[in-house]
Amino acid sequence: MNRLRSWIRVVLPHDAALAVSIAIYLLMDFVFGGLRIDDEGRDVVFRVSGLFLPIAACLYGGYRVYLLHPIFQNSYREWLSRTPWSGRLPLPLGPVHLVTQDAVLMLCLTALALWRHPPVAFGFDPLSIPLVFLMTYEASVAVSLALAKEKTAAYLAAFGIGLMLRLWSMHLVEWSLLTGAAVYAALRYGLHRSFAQFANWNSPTLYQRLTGSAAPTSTMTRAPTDALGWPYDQLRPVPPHVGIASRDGLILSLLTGWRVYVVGASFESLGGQFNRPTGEEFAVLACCVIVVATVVRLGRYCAGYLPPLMLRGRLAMGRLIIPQYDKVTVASLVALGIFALAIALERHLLIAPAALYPIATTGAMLVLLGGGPSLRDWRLTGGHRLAPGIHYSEGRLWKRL
Amino acid sequence: MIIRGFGFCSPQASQELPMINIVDLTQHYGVRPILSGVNLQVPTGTLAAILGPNGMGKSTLLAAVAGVLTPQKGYVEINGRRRKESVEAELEIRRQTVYLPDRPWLPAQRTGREFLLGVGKIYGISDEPLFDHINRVVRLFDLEALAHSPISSYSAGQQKKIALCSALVTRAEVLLLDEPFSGGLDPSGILALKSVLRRLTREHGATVLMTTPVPEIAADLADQLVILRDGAIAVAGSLDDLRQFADCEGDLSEVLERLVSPETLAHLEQYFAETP
Repeated sequence: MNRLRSWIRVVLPHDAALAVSIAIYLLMDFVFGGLRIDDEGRDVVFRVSGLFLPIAACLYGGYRVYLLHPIFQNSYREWLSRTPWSGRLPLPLGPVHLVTQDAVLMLCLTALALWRHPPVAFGFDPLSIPLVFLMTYEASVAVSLALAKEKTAAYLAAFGIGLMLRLWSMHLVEWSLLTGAAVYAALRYGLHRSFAQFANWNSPTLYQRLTGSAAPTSTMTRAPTDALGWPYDQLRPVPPHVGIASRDGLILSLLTGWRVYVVGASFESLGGQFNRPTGEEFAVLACCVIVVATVVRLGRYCAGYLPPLMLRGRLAMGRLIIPQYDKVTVASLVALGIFALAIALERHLLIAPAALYPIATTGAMLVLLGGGPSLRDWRLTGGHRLAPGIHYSEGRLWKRL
Repeated sequence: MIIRGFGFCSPQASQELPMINIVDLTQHYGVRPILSGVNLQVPTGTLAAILGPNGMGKSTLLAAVAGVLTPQKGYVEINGRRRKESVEAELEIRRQTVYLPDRPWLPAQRTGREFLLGVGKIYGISDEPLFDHINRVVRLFDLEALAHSPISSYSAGQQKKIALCSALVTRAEVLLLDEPFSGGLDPSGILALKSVLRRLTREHGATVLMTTPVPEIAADLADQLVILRDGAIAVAGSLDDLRQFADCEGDLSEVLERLVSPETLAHLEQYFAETP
């Protein structure tokens, strides 16, 4: 028994987390019991506690990567960098790649679903449990690979997970699992390559990687070079590398369009079950994505970089357009224009929304990610007025709030 | 040499390239004009002080020189490169320049030493000289005991001192300092700063452009005095030049009264005359 316990503990979450999870499941099962739902003359027993199982699988997928991958754990990574550990050796706190124990845990959850919540009562295929785990796990590994600059595998996984989601929404769970296996093969190769490069990770924090701020190069120079307040953060002589490379911009645009298609098609399938008109899901999704991306782009460019004249000043001085500053809005306006054009095309040329809106989203994202001016050029040469951005205040922000 | 507000001096007239060259600079805040057609040249190794009544645009002029503002008209050149003209020019200017606003935002949770290290690193100063410089500068401003404490625990005067230290550790050739002597500096801090600025300009060739509302400090330190009035340079030059221009042999306060606020003495007389 002890051997079995030691064996499974390699990947098992902390005892407390495990105990809380089991308690929640039992409590839900006890409180809600079986709800009887009359569906077309058939008595269906639906157990709310059944919903807990895919959620648990999803959380476990994230935990497996987030807590065991050194790229997400600064102290773990720094400690590893001071040991003779290399990518060829097993990770001391547990493997990031999938192991037999994961399969056993998923089998247990699936068996529990089949026993307590058979398909007809459960609402969806119990095979969805390992699928949900696999999707969350693979998405988390893809993020880790993107941070470790193994972008090819990360992008492959991002596209593959979209396909898994699409197949799942078409009730082709087995095919979705097969796709997941193929995605895992790509990720495993990426993991192998990223761990082989561990010595070159250079110990930047996740925050530094996400914000692009300079990474320390040695203990002696481990001085914080970000969040130095006003005016150093905005007037620094060597601004941090910001912006997205054109190749990444292209792939991310295609990926966003693909995801709009996948999610839209999934919603369409759901809508079809309730005999609702279909097609508008794509327009709504594309609208949400484009508007959010536009707002994010404008926020990224304009936070702390204000116009030389605000609206009142422009009206009073008859300078409604200030080309030096207003050029920053051109890409956003073009992106919104692409969406408007897509609506017009759908109405007048009756082009299928499932094709039109993902393509429109891809086009809009291309403009938003790749349209000029580049963030670096804008910050250094734009006709703006610098204002201490709240994201630079660090500490002062709390006082001001 | 006396320079009047509307640009008697052009780059061609100068013997050598000025370190700071402000050409026809006009700046509005909304509809309110702050600076109008300002021309000014500050040669290398000069300490220039901008003086003038409150709200006349001293800080705005300095912010425009620092690249914080984009002027509606005109431009600023630092060491022959025009601000914001190109990425390369702007980066080069930033490497040569440090700007310290009147009230900088300091990273409250960091220690003074961490902050100075960070500032030194972004200016590309290598480790050993940076550590050495930080030790000397915190000693100069009597911050040695506090250097390892978070900045949030500093008093207002100590925060001013650490901000001044940060400007000094950059080793920038051009220092743009907005009211460096205000903000609660104690007498020893004022003395230290005066001495440092004087030696930096005279012995190390640094160029300083600062604002101050205190004529005594400007008279004591500055090689070039720039008097702003109504958004334009009323007069610029040495103290003797200003005396000659104002036709006054008194100290800088008296010269300023004549040039900028001749009505102040009259208001004073009125104030006491109307007291019952």
